[in-house]
Amino acid sequence: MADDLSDITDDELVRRAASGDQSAWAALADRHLASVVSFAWYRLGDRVEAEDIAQETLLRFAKKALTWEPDGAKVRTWLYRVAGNLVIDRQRARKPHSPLEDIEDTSIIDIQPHLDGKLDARRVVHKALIALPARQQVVLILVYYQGYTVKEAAEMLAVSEHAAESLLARARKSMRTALEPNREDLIGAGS
Amino acid sequence: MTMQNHQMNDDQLDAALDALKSPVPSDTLVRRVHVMAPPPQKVFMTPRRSAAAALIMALGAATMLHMANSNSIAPTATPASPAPIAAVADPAGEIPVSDLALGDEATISREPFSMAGMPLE
Repeated sequence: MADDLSDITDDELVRRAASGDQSAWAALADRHLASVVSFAWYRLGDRVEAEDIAQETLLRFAKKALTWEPDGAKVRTWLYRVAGNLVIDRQRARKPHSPLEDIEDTSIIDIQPHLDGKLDARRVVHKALIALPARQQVVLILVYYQGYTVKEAAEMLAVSEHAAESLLARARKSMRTALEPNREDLIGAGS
Repeated sequence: MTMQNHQMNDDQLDAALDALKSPVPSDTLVRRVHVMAPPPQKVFMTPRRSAAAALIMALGAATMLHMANSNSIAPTATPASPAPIAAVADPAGEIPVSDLALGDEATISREPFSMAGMPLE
């Protein structure tokens, strides 16, 4: 059923969902859920927390859908902003030294449990990623990992395209610097 | 020592970034989110409201009809004017007139009220 709705705009799906169309809601959720989980995971490194945030974000959107105005913000922008705020709340609630310690026990080990070298590379990259300033981190995630254009990322961050390009360049530079000590291992692991 | 002089190039950085792949949503999460569909909007016209609306419309129509029919007929009686308060509340005239005052400009509340009678914030 959701396939039939794949060509329908987000706004139209929201309108249908708000009028009680369950399949429209499912299609809308399927369209955005993975992105929200991914976004939260890249920022937190914890699969359970990422899924909690995605669930809370979609729950809030289900309520918002009843008063959604098609001419306002895009659905994905709204979702990313809410998810971003929830991520910040989680980061504030965390203890100072806890974030990366649990990665091995949660998400990364779920993906590649047998590749020890790869596992270390992932931890190193993720550690460098979450050490970036928040806006650089978000632009890098949106553009590199989620495939948005710089212009789309700029819209989501409510900054100019030029500012987003600058943030992305600084993010890549910071990542290069942070990953440099592990360069050989990373290149070997990535090849 | 020469390692520090070699910055990662774009391809190498991309390869390193590629090492990090996010998980896909679990089936449990997908199921949970699917059942979060917005609650159906409340239907304004319940059967009771429909009946009430019909009654109001009927009364309105009857009133309009009555007014239309009575336009050509002169009123036969003037509306009764309310009795003086003093006559009702103080037939013996024992209470000073000032105490019978219901209110004046100084005591009338200036607070705006809503249709429901509650002060507007």
